[in-house]
Amino acid sequence: MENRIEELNKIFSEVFGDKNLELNRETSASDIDKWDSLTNMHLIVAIEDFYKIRFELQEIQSLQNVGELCDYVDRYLAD
Amino acid sequence: MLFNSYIFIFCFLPLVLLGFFICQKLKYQYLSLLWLISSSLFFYAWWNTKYLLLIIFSVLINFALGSLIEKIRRKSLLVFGLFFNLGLIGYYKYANFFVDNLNTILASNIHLHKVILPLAISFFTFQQIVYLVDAYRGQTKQYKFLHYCLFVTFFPQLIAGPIVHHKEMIPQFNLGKFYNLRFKNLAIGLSIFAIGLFKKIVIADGISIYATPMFDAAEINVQLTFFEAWFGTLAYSMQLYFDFSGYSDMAIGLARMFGLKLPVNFYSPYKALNIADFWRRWHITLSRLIREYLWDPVSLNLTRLGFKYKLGTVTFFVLATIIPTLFTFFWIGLWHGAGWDFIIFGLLHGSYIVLFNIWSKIKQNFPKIKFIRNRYISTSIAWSITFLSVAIGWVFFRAESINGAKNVLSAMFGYNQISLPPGLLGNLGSFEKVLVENGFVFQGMFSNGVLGNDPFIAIQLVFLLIGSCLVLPNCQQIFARYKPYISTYPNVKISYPRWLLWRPTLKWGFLSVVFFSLAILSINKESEFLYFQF
Repeated sequence: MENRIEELNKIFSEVFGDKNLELNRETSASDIDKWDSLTNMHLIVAIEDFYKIRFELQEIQSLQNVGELCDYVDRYLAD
Repeated sequence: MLFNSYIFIFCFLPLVLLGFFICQKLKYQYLSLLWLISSSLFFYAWWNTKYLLLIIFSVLINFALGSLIEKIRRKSLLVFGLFFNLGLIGYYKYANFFVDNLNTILASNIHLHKVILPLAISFFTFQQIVYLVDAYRGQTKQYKFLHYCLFVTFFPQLIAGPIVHHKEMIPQFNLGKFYNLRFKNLAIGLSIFAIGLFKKIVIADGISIYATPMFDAAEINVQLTFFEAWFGTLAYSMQLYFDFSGYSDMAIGLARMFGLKLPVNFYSPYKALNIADFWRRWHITLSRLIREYLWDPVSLNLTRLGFKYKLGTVTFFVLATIIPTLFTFFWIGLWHGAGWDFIIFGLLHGSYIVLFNIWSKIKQNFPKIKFIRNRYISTSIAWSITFLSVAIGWVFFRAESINGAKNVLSAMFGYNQISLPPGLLGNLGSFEKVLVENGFVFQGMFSNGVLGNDPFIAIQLVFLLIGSCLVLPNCQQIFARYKPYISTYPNVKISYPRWLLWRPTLKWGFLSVVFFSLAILSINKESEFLYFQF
């Protein structure tokens, strides 16, 4: 699980161009300045591309924080 | 019937409240629902009985379709529902525009009688489209028919928003406390209503006398001066904000009297420091709807395409940012009205957002460079750029024609020469020569008289209002203790002095009465809300 956050951390840093970003399960869009509806899909597709998975739009829209994102990724990878 | 009319305030509203109270005493919830629905339909029909059938028809078809989709999840049904709703709004709102353009392009002469825009069609159509889409996604919960009817027709939000979402309204109808008229709700609701009424009648209608003549003059090609164009536009920026946010406040106050909460529609938009933030604060219920049902799917699919074909930085940016942004804002423009000026308004804001994105990318790639060190200076510059860009956008929003907008903008950008007071002539020394060489003239700053006899009153008022937009708390902050809204913007916690925060005290009661009386005394003519035309 810790691993997953680190992987995501790397993707987030790359998308937002911020090497100092430190994610935890509670991190949400309101904690990261650049994480808004304009950059959200870029981030999501970067994650899809990394894990070779595909999210449903409704799931993306209901995401509340990084913890839920981790759980989604885990569930997709388990399937 | 308008909220700012004697008939609404002194007849309709008290009677609806009284009826609601009687239904409550009879302890029969269906009666309360029926009472509110029929009052709302009466409110709608007051304007034009002919279109009463249209809204009833739309509600019935959509409810039937939604319930069916909920059961048998067929995409064909959803598509039919979308065609039905878009067909209705397409005919009633856009048919004339479409035919006019077709005639221009094909040089043909197709005749279509002038279709009168049914009140509120943009609002109730989209609320119901969202309902159908969500029914297909499995996010609706077998709503009761009367609950659905009230969700669409509830008179406070019926004709000019906020655009409510079924998920936030219908669960409230299930709560017992909605059916009880309470003094606390009445006090909070009336106080918010009084502030909204004041914003609308005293401020928006008051400042409009400095905006309207300038835009009227632009239509008949009067050579406006630089200062007239700017102050007329700034006056309109204030008029539109106070008009529409005042209306939203009234809607929220009215709903609260019946124990219901509506979503916040404005969160101090003129405090925004960038254009993206402006759209998160302005007409929030429209932008969240567009974001969720238009922007997200389009941008998700185009971004996936960009990744799939491993596009370079620039082409990726064009595909995944520029195209979806302009596409989305094209529709935001068109939603506001069937006209090229609204489309240009939308595309202009789309371009602002694109530019803002490019700027963010530059900052992201060069984090070390601080362009301006002083935080106060950089904040002031950010605010000015945002506010002035928005004001320029309003020119297209307000002008009756593209030609009118062009006239205002050319004056604003100095194409008509910048005219200074004649009194300055001969008092500027060698500087005068520099000015004259650069195209300045000395024929007066306000020579067309469009800002009234004493333009400096207009200037003072405009600055006073801009200042109050920047300094004062918004209604959500004033009433924060009583949470009369559904929150739609992350609440900014600024510690305002206690005396600015509403409490059920004598002082606030007195203040509400003052706001209310000033507004009532200023109802001289029924001016329509600007957003009624949408």
